[in-house]
Amino acid sequence: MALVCCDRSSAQACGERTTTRALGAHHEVMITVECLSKRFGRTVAVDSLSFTVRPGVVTGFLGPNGAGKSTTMRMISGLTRPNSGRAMVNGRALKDHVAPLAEIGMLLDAAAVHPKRSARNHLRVIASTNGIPLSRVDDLIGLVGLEDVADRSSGDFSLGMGQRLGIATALLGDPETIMLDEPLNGLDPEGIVWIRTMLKGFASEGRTVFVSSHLMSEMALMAEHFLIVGAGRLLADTTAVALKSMAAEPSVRVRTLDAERLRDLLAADGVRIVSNGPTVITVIGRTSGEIGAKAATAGIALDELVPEQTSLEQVFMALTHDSAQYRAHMHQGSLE
Amino acid sequence: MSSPTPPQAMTEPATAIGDRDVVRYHVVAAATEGRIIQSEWIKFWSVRSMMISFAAAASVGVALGAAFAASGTRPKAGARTDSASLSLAGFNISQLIIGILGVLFVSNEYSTGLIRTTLVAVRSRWWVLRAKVVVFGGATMAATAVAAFAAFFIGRSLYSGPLAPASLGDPGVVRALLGTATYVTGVGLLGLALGFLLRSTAAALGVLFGTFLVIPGLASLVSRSWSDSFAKVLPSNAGAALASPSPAKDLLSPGAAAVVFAAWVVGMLVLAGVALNHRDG
Repeated sequence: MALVCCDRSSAQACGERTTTRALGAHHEVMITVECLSKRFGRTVAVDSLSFTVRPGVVTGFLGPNGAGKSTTMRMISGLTRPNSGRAMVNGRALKDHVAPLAEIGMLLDAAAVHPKRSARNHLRVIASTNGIPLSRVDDLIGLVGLEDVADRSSGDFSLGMGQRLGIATALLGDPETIMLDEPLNGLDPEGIVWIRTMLKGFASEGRTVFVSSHLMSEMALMAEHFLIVGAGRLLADTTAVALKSMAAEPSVRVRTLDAERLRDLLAADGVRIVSNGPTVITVIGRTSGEIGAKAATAGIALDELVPEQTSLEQVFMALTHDSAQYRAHMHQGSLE
Repeated sequence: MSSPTPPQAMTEPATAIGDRDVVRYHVVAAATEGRIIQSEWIKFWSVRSMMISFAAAASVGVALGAAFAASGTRPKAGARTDSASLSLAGFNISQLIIGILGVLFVSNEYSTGLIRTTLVAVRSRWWVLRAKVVVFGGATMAATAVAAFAAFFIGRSLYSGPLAPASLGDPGVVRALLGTATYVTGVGLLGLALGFLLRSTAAALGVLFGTFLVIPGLASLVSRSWSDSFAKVLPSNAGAALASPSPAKDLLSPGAAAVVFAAWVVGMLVLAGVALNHRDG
């Protein structure tokens, strides 16, 4: 559906359809991205991305570094202009809302604070732009647990305290939609649990929660829905349940000096292969017997052939492998 | 400076945004231009080092003026040694401090990322530029006008030169006092504009100092016929004409200087606004 939408020849039909859908969806709280593309010079950062982030669950926006996650979020925020397509928050571009902070709360840069300004004054600065009462600032300082340090220079804050201040900033307008770019980066375990619990709580209140990460392990415990991107393209728009069922498939770890050739040999629909080093691959969707037989026919010597449980991490790697590979080649090419 | 926000007038009527919004906007009324000014005002006073430098800019002007006036005893041919000129000489330093603060008021937000938090909270980026101009320009104008009058009266009482101490009624004196405040404010606003245009403290300060300290010196090195007319319209020389009770002969008349100086400031601010609107945040 998304692909048809971005096709230029059917743009008009697509336009009509999305208009109808947008009108119908006007009362829903969500993020809608349609055929969004962004280039920086010759690099395509985001490539015809279309998706909808719905309320009630935490949606994980997952992809390797450089997959276009931050650029997509910045286009949703209105900070970056797309080359084509559009991003809407609750049915409109963010800047067309009367009070942007009430529509969406964002954490794009953790440390977007003047180091000599106190946390309380920082929150006042942001709150006053949208006419948010100062009592709300005090409430949020309490909510994120910064009471003791609220009047100190925020430059002295630890990473975790800075992140709490960022979350408080995002929540000032009591928004129905919350969008956070890599909020767990560099946090200690306690901070991670705190954010995870808070975001799951927001989702259960019926809010839309959209969180990016480059680590499946961070997201697996928090997100119920996944948008997986690689090289600017949408690779999967799926639920945690579906991903876990993929992970439930048997996988086999193979060690061989001829990994490359075995890889080509096994490539087929429904088979996903992850490299774990030059001589080790993990194959999802083939039994160890099938792999052993194929290798024997081709005369490939196997050092190890171990059936094992697939992790979500491996599913993620398998999904994004091609795009990561593509990027690696690009980098090599540009160096030469 | 009090906030010019009309309490309710700028809040959009609930009917314009639909029933859904009325229920949901229980915390927030609306983002309005007046509220952005409020926000910038909090930014302005809430960093102590900025406030200290700001106060220093005003008091340095007064203190140096007093020192110059007290020691202004030896008239040289062509030198302006009247008490008003001497009292205002210290504002050449104030102007640089205010210029730096103007740059920092914007470039700090680019280095910390606060600018992005600000831009996503507003409906028009022009509001952010205008609010900074209102807050920084207003505060600077008020403070330097008070300081210029203080410098004038203190300088007058300490004056030890050969002329009669200037009085407010002398030709050009009130204009020079207000012109000094305008000049210093204008330099601050040029700093703001450079901050938005270059987004980097170092680059913006470099251009600002180049414009006010280096280019006027270079202009005097090139051929006189050309440099005379060119040098006159530099912001530094136009500003000096505005701020002097009796401008030197090679400067513009105060009226022309006001027009040229305003053109510099407004032109740079418009450029800054266009850049702010057309670039990705």
